Amino acid sequence: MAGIQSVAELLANAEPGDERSMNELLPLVYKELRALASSYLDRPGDAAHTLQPTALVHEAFLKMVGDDRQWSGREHFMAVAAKAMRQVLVDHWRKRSAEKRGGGANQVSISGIGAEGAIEDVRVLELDDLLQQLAKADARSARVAEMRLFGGMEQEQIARVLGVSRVTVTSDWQFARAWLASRMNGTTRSEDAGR
Amino acid sequence: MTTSSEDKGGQPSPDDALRLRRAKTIFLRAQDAGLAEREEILDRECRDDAELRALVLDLLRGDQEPLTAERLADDIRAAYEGSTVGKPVESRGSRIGRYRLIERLGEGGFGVVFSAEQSEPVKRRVALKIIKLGMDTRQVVARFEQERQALAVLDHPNIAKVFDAGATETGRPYFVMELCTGEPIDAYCDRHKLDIPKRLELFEQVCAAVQHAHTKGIIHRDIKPSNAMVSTQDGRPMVKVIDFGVAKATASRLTEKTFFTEYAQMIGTPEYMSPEQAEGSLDVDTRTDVYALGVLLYRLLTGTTPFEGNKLRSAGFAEIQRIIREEDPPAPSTRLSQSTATIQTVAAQRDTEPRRLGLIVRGELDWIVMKALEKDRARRYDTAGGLAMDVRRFLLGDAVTAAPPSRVYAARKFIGRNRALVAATMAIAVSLPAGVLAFAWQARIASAERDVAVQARVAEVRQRQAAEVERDRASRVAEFMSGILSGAGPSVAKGRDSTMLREMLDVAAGKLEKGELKAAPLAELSLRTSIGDTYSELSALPEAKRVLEAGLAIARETHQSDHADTAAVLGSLATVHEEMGDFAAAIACRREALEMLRRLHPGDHLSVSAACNDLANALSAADDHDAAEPLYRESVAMTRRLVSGDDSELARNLAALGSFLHAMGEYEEAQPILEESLAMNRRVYSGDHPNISNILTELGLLHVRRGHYDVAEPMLREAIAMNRRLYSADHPEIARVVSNLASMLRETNRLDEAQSLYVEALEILKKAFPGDHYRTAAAMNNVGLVMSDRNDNEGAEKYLRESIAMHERVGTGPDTLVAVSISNLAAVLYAKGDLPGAESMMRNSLRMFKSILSPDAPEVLSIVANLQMILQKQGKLAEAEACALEALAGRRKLLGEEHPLTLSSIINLGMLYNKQEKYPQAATLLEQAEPAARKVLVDELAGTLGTFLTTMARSRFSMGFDDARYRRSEKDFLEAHALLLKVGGEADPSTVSCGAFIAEFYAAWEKAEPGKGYDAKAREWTKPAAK
Repeated sequence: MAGIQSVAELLANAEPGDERSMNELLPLVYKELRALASSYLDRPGDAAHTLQPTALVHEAFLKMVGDDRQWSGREHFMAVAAKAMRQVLVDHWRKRSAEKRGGGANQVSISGIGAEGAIEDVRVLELDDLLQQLAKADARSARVAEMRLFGGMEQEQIARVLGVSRVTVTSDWQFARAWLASRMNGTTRSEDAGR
Repeated sequence: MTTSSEDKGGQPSPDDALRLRRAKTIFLRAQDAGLAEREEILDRECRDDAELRALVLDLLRGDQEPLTAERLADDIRAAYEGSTVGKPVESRGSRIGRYRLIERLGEGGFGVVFSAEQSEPVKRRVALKIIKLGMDTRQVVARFEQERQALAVLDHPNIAKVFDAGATETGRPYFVMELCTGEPIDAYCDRHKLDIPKRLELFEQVCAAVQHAHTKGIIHRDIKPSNAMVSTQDGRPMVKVIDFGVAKATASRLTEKTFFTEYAQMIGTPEYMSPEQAEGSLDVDTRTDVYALGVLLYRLLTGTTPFEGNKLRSAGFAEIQRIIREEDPPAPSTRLSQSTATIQTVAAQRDTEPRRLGLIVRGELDWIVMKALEKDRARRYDTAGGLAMDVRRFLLGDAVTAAPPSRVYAARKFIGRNRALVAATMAIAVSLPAGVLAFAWQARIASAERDVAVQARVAEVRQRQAAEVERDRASRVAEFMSGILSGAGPSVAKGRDSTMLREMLDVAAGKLEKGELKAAPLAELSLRTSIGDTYSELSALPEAKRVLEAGLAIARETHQSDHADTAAVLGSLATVHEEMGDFAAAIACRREALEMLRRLHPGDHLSVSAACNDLANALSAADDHDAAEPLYRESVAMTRRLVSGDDSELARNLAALGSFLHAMGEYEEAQPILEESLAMNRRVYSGDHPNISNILTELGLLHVRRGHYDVAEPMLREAIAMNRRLYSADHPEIARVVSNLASMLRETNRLDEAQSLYVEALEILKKAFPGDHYRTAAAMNNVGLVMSDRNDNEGAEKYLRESIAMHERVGTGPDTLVAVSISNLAAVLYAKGDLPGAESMMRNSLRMFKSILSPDAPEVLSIVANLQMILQKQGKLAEAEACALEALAGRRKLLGEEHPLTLSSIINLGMLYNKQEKYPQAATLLEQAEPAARKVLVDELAGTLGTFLTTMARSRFSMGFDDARYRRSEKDFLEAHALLLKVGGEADPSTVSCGAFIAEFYAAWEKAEPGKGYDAKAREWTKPAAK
């Protein structure tokens, strides 16, 4: 657990918008999440090999940070965990799709850990791809979307982590969300505005 | 780290990126506009860029569509909240029962908190807390329903009221409580940069809330900053403690399996978890809350918790348990000094400088926090109120009841270290020179004597309290029964078998436990006090404590403000604490009682003077002499103003003051005060009475101290005979006086009788206090001592080490007892020839004594004298001389010239001068003391006179030849040898060394005046010495 201590220390020193501590944290959190993920997937009897990101994040969070709601490092952890989570999921599904041989990335989905029968597919590789595209045009919006989608963070929290105003985050998110929705719902880019 | 995904096809060109950014701006502007305006914006902004226009339209469409990935976000968010995912989450606007949710306030350890509006029966804003799923809802609600009835009695400005509980449609339990705005106490303090006193005042409010709940029998179980909310009201910060009863309702047994899934979610943070909670025990009590309050205080002072959250969180379940149960956290000031990096911030938040912050926290605040954080809850404050009172004392600049743990701790460490050393050192039998009159002579009896100061007034206190309680009672039944019970106490029953009395008490106590007198709380209170006092007189201490603690709760509940009943129960309870050796708890009770009575009776009043005296006794028992003395004097002065002629109260308070002065070594002032008290007691009580036997003992001991053995012995024997008539055979009171007499016999070298009496006392105490007890430990010390007197060093070491070990286990007794046993062990090690071991033990003992007693106290002087011998034996002569001078100066001041101990110091210094070849100094010192020595060192002390004369003669002849001086020396040498031969026999080391000096002396004389036959005398004396 040597790395875990450093997570806590790094988090304790994190300042708003402090990308450096984020970059130091990411490998640690990523490693932890990946280890947890493989322990889930190696679990015998789980034929579906369903990756449950919520369980992952929950356990990782409790292990690395605990449940102290007062603690300011919490948001920084969530932001880093979002990035790490995105990567873990991408790794996972890329591997799965390779195994399926011929299964297109877009068909591979993961489930939220939701109640039975209510599974909605989240096309992780496609989402990842779109976020990368978005980042080329508007890095901050992509970060906001990442924190929101893979980190479950609320706008105030994101604003604090990035050191920007709440209004900025709202705009970024509205934009990113609209773009992602338009790209993920349509099979192609539509030329027809009045669809 | 690589980036999350390799670049793929379909990447936007730089142009695309530029266009997308442009689209964002237009999209955001168009988004809020009406349809017509939107068209206008698009036309204006995009003009002929069809791609840009399409992009913006895509965005506007996407804005209206669901994004499936958001589902993931919601689930992850829910995971952070610990909520089970997949069920609808209550959100603003939805209704739960008769409450409409208004705004989400945040998440606590248990779930989500909303502000909500209640529509009926009254319209008001409340806080509604929805518990996470996964807990057994029905059980939780049922348990809470039970708890709610108890919670209804909570009525305190610092407690958020709990109104209601139920379950949502999805089956999640919820609680409805008073809406508290504000922020957690630690955040509030930091944000407002509150200094330490202001923080402590807020902390007191938290304690007051918790104490109120404790008096109602309600334990919080989950005290932490987020459950102590602070808001500013009327310009002043106001604490509201929330979530009372919630933890109990939702508690389940903590196991490894449930720890991370359940406990970590529920309680959230293990930093505030007490050792008993960490063990998974459901047996929590008020002291569990005291622990959490201690952690909270720690955090308010230092900005961190005793065990840092990160450390705990990174540990596994078993490791967390181990850390909380076993690891000693650093004291707050230590923690502050460790974190140089953060102390700047921490100090700034406390409106002070780093160095100053350390100084404020070091000492008493450290002690207070560490006492609250004791692993063993029996050593914590019993209640939040006790903790709060110590904080208040600190704020007022009074002495706190918490004591530094360092002395006992240091002793334990020391013993641990030296055990190995002792084992490794070869034992060589070296006996002390007879001139060192009874090595460790004074310190040995200290243990037995110490008890006196504490115990002497106990019996009278009880009588007085019983009498007070009997007055003004609501119930005649209770009065009747109280009369019977207190009438049957030992001081009245006079040794009649108390078995029946005990049975009666058990029956009565059982009826009370069943609630038979619930309707008449005053009657129950009266009865509980009587039963408790009588139990206590019978030394049935756990029973007494239980009965009285319940009585105290009734008193607090029945009399919301100050009341004499409450003060009386506090007094009775304090007596029990004292008997059990828990002086800190006793002092807390006594202080509370005194403060209460002063408020009830401004000016002179007998109950105030009595309470002063009681508190003084408790303080003195806990070695806080400076605080005790003014209270003793105030008590006597006030009583003299109130009574005229003979009075039992005045007699009692005089005895207390006299005993205290005696214990402080103020013999001259103490003796007439004690004599006045004894005479008054004999006139007030006819025949046998505990007061009389107590003062006889005290006065007897004072005479022992002053060397008046012939006066002392009959007094002590009378006291023992009286106690045997007053008490049952196994009563500790008998043991006390028996061991005092034994100590006197030891001093006068009557070792056989002394040992058998010490053993008798030990056996009585073992029966009276099963298990470990500081008095049993002291009795073992005494047996060890008398064994060492009889040169049974193995037996002595065994008893002494066992005594020290028992003190360490008990931990709450007076520290001087441990110091005494350690010094005695040092003496035994010295006798065995382990000089380094003896020196370090002795130095440790001296350090302990000096930290407790004045530098002139007899114990301190004895230890100094002993240390001198050890140093001298090791050839550290300069250090030894300093010790010898210190001891002699102290004894001259304390005891005068004509005392065996003073003379013993003079002999020791003389020997040391001889060794350093400072013969004229030695001779002058001894010649001046000779008249006193010849007067005092007679009968059983005659051997010491022999050593005195030997030393003096040796210094004289060594100064060089002078006819008169040599003749005088010859005379003294021969007298000394005769004395030593008579007392110790031919083989006694003192006799042998005296003979050797005589041979040396004649050889010197032969040299100075050859041919006068001194060579023959020298040969003659050499022979027996060689033997």
